Amino acid sequence: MPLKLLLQLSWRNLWRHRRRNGIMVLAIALAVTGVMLMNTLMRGMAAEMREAVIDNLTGHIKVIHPGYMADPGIGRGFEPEQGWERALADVPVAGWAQRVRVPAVIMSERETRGVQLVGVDPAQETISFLGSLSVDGEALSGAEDRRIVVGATLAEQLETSVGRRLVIMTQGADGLNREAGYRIAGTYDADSNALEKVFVFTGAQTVARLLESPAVTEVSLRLESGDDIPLALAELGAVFEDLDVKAWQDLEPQVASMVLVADFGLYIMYFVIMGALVFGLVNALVTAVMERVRELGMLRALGMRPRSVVAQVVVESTLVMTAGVVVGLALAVVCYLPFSGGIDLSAFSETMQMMGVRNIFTPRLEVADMVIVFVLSLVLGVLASLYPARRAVKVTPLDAMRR
Amino acid sequence: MAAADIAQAPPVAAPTGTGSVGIGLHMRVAWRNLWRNGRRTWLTASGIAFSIFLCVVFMSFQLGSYDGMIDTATGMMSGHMQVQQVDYFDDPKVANRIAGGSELLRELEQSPDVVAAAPRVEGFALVSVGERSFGGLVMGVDPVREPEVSALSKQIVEGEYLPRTDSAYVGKALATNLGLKIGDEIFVMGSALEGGVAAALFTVDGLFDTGQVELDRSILQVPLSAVQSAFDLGDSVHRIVLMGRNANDATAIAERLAPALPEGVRILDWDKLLPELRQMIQMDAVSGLIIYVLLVAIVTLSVANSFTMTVFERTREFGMLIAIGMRPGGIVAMIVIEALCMWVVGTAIGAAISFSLMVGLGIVGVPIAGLEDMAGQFMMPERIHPEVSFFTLGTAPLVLLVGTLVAGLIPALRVRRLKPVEALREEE
Amino acid sequence: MTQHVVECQGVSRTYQDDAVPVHALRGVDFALDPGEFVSLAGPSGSGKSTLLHVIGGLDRPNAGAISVDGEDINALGDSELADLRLNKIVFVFQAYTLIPVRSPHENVEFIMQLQGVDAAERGERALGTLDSLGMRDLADRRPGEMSGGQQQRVAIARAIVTNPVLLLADEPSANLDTGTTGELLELLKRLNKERGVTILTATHDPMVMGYASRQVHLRDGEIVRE
Repeated sequence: MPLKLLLQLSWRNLWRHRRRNGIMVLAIALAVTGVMLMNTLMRGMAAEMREAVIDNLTGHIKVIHPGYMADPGIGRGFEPEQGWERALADVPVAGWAQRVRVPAVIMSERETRGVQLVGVDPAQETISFLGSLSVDGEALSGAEDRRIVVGATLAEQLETSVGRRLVIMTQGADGLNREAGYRIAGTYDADSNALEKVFVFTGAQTVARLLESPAVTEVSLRLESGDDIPLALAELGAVFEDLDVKAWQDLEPQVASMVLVADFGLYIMYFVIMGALVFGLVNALVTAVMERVRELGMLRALGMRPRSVVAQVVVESTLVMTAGVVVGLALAVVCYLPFSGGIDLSAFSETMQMMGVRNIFTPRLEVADMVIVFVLSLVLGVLASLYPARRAVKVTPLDAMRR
Repeated sequence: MAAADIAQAPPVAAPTGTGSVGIGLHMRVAWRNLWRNGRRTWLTASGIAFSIFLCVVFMSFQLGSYDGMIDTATGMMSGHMQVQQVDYFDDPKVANRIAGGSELLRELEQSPDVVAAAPRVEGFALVSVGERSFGGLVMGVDPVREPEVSALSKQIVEGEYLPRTDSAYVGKALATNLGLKIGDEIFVMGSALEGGVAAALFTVDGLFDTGQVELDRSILQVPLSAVQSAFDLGDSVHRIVLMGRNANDATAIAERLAPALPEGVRILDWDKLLPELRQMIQMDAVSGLIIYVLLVAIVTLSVANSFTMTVFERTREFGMLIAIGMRPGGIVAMIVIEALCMWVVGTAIGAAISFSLMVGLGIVGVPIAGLEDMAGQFMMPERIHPEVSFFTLGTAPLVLLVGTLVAGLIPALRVRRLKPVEALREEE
Repeated sequence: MTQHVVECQGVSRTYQDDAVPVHALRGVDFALDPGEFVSLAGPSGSGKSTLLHVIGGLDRPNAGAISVDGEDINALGDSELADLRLNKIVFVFQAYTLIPVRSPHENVEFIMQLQGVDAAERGERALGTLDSLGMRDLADRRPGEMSGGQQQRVAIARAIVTNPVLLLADEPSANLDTGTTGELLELLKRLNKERGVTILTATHDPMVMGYASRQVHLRDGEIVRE
């Protein structure tokens, strides 16, 4: 049976029961829109969490001493060889930064807090949140800068302000305490209060002088594309033989697993919602077949092959599904567009911060997910039509004439 | 009826002639009509059953996991409620203290709502072992009362929980970093109340391992009195941690206790102590709600579709019924009762499966395998006990009852526009 | 000897109706020569429709052999039977004869579409056939808008457009008035004479029998008289 004829017959048959098929299309569209929008939120959430983690001094890849995670300190530092980055000639790298990050105690005249002291070269920090921070006062001018930049929240807790001095105490490589006073160049405002409380920045040379060690504790890299991580890992592994070269997924397994959950979530939601829908779809299709017993019998008598009868039911089901999915996806896009710039979620700010998401939340409608939903729906449309099609094939010309 | 019967029958005064029939007959007729197209009824009822099953299972697990999350989260450190100096929550500094802590503690313990209470004093300090040192939170606790309100004492992996007045209970990660072992001495130094130096010497008698590295690396517990004297706090405390019978009662209990508190002291329930917990639950509930609404809407549409088909097919029959004197309203009622019967069948199946499953799992609990990382991060317990309540089991069936009736009513209302003559002419 | 268009030998068909066997056909021997116009007559339940059905391959006999245009029907599978109907045998039913979602013109084209005739030829032949039956002006109506006689004529146009070997008509006049039946029968006769289509009808209608060149009477599943 020519496909064109098949499509034409099915199409017109669908229009014979506009109300019934309209309801089906509406139900499918509703399901698809709902699933897509939920997925858009989940994808957005996962992407934000991933970006936040990569931004928060992790990068795509980090090189650290194998013992650093359990015992962070300059004792677990290392000195990268000059020109190590040439090993990555064939991986597009957005940037890299070498840092000294050690736990420290910071003291004002009134208060004492535990923080992470991070010695940076500001020129390299375009790859982290540090590069785009809004600083009240002055930012660090270079790796030589001997002043510090602290979070606004921390400054408040320490009851101090820009221009005043703070004492920082930390351990040197020999395990002995080092202590020095630093002037506050500026206070920064990050998306998360937790960040502001934890990170205190100063020039890398300044920390090296305090610790009496030229070592760094981490090299962080940001690639042009996250897809290149495995390749970059392999190449870096060869350069930093005795060190741990880790992707962000290994450094932040919770976030990585959330991103994974978002991937599965699409399928789970899709099958939960569509599962409920299939009953209705099969119902409508079976009814359409049973109503047309005489017509189908006649078509068989005219010489239509059984296969063509099956094809007709399958095509009708697929057409309904396609119509529903197309409407649903279009609706999802229409609902999504006003929010594509971001949703203000300050009402949920604590959770968002805990999960590493910013207050302005950007949902993400991914074309790949739309394609997945579309393809899954076509498959489901075909599956849903199998039982009705079997019924249709059982209709013999004689059944038709006996009615 | 035989002629003799008619003769014996009481005389009928006048034909009642309302064209409507009793509910019992409606029920029987509707039930039989439903099974005239058994396949359709089964399919539609299965759709209802499927959605009820999903909604009941999801809701039970969702609510069950909330209870588990709340219990785990509040049981770790924060307790169900805390009494604090008014500014302490926003600015936890040593000076923001409750004076006369032991007396307030005794008063609170006498309240029938309070199952357990424990005082705490906290201060940030430098913890030194020989030449090595580390910044951490020193927490002075009552070794007897503390285990009643916090699970930390149960996470012990080595030694004993604060057996002496100079004992320290230290995270395993901190111990490793400082090269500590049981019996080693540690020196704690911080800023005391009046700006002086607070210093004290402790012996490590126990190690804990919570699995949360941040906690294991930065907290040490020591006896309350030692911290009070080191920080010049006297009888002052920073928190009195309270446990009620049930985390869900915390807000109500907090409201009852609040008036009796001295000036400058307030009570916070876990909602306020752990705002991220409440928000996480709300966000999860909202996303769950979207799924439930979708499921119910889709099933309602399937039922509506089913009845649209039924009404369409039976146009002739309805024409005949109107022709013999049945009121259109009676037919509408019949269809709605058919919808009701459909709901009964679907709910019976969906409820039978899901209720028994949930009651069973509610008792046994379901382990969350392979999600230990997330469990730690999101304060999840290791086993979820699905909540079995009228709300989790009854909501989906009741909402779908409304949906099903509406879905039957809308196509049924078309019958009222039916012209009997045209309906009878309709091709079968 | 010319080959028979239809040849039945010892054809029996038994239905199982509520556990009681119904013998619709009991060992029927029957043949149709090319160009014949034969009418099957007999009371209801005599087996005429069943004979028509087994010859058209809509139903299969329990015993006996049937060949149509030299092909042994028993040896053919469902799809091959469908092809046989598509190319050689056509049916005209008593009611519900057109595909409701297609216009008369498209109904006539339909079989040619199944056969894979190209569009230009299809259109030309369909219009030509409708024209020859005097129905050109009906070509684009909807089946629902036409009378029973008009529908039946479209069904015949659809049946003959492919130049079939055999036309089977089961009570073709059942839903028609006398005038329309007359027109229909004239049409069938013309087909039989002008195009040499072999026609087999099953009917109660004496008017239909009158047009046939031969009558075969069935009773209780057996041929009683020719």
